[in-house]
Amino acid sequence: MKKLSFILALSILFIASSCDNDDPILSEVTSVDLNFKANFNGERLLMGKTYDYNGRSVRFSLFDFYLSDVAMVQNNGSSIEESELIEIDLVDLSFQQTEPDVAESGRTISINNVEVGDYAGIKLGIGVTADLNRTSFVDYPSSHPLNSAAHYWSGWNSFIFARVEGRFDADGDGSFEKGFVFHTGTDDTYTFKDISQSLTLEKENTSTLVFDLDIKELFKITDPICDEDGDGYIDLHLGNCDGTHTDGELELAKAIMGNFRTAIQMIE
Amino acid sequence: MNKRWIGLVALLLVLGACQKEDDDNTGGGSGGGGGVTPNVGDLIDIPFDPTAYDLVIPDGFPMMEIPEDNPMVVEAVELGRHLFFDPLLSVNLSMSCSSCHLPNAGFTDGQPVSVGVDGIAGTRSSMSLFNVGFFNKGLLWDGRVATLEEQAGIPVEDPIELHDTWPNVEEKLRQHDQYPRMFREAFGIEDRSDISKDLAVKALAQFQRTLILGSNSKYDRVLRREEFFSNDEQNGFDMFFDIVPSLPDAECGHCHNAPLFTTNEYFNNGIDSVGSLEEFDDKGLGAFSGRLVDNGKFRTPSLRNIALTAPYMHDGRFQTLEEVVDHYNSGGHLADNLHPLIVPLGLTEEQKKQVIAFLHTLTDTSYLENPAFQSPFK
Repeated sequence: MKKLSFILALSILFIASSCDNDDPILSEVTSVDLNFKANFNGERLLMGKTYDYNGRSVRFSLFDFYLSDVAMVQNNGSSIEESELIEIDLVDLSFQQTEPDVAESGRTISINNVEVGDYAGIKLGIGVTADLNRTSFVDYPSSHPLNSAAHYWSGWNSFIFARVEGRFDADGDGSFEKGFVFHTGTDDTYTFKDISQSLTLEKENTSTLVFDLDIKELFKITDPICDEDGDGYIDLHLGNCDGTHTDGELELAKAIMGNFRTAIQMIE
Repeated sequence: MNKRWIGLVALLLVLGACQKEDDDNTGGGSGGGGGVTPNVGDLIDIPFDPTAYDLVIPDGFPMMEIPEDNPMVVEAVELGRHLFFDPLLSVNLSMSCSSCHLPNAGFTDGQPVSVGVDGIAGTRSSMSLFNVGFFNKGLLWDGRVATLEEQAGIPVEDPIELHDTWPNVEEKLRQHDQYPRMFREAFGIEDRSDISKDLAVKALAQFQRTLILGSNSKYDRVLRREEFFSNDEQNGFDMFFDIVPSLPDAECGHCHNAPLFTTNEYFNNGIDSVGSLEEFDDKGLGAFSGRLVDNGKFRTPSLRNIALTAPYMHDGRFQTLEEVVDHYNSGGHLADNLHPLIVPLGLTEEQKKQVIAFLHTLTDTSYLENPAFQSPFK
């Protein structure tokens, strides 16, 4: 009898202790929406719409880019801590002319379970982090943002970090005979955009952070090889400056990725 | 004493709960219990013991996603193979799926456009089925169906294909001397009346998911360092994927990326001359999506075994690979939605031949020796 009581008591103690041990101290959490909109020279970007590109006409047909390692930044005085929001996601801003309302709304990524509190800013990684870039699109299920053969360039052994595609009226006859395809990739072109701004995330409210991205900024360049006319922008009519595929064009890809730092602005 | 009694009652309660769970499990697997009369069908005595099908995915290929409600089993694949090659699925017993997807023609029919049981020609060329199980961005030239199961249901009732009705086909299958047993073995039905379109298309989809090709072409052997490209093939490869700056970019690899040699996306590749996007005779993706910008866009086909699947394009307008490469080298016809990579390439005659030489390295005829890819009725 004593033995049975002892075993029962021990069992109850064991169960009780297993329930107590790992109870986490739960932080208060909230939701954050990251909203991205694209412009061309301050005007809302629509695919197929004609924009003035320093005296020549340009039309876009595709614009997307990967975001990775996105984090809220907390400055605790002695140390800086990061709370990851997004490991990897694809932001596709290729809204058609028939979708001005959708373009106006932009693309929103919603993140739940973000710790409430005061933050010193947010960090955006543009492209695919080196760790993820060691993988391939075949490694992911179709629901994953990296599962895209169109976003992998085997010549680089790299995901394509950003794609800007369109056509250009080089001779001014209105025919848009010239295509341009800027695909960026490789670890060297990975870019961070750090935004220092006090942000308070409250429990009751979903915080929406709005980012405007001016695609014309991506075409800024200092290298005279692709800027013969000296206007500070890529000369799309030059045959060797209308795309980035080979190793020789990686410098141009790097410049475009670096331009994301100035192209993206947090407006709300 | 009271405490011991409480302890025993608690133990009995726990055991009772466990026993209830066991009872539930037993009830489902035994065909009913507890005095309920089982629904005995005419197939119940045929064993139902399906064997999981082991899909062999080539190295470097993406994963194939199998619908949860249609797991791959050997018996269903075999049923699907029979259905695929059986003219029973057509209204006059004259054509089967394989009539437009002949194994010897790379699972196409070798015609510009396919002709159905009534002699009526369609408007599209039969697409190869190699690796079709990997495609997850829509099927057919215009992407209007999402799954192989959905696709498999279409040709039976299409007036320009098999032109039957599913109720009629279901009845033919129920009256057949072999199919009721095969449906039982594949799906565990108890009565031949349970044979349905839903199960037939599941079996057809399972068979098509086995049509995997990707490890025995010269390209694959070169990748494994078992063989080397010729100089022409190597130059063609370099231009295909724009590897060497000293050679022109043939702009192929962007839309025909390895390992499947397609990104399975939809483009206007400039084969039609139109004044506006409304003027495409065949609107392709646009007819399905309803978006003007999608008019004239078609799915990028895989180039694996492309040398076996002439003629080319959605309407079979090009008879040879030479014509295809000539088209791309020309830059195609301008349109508002022409893909920006469709531009004059500047390939010389020799370079065009080199690109084609590389395309031939994607040929793999080893599947012809595989009886699982062939008709069971031979």
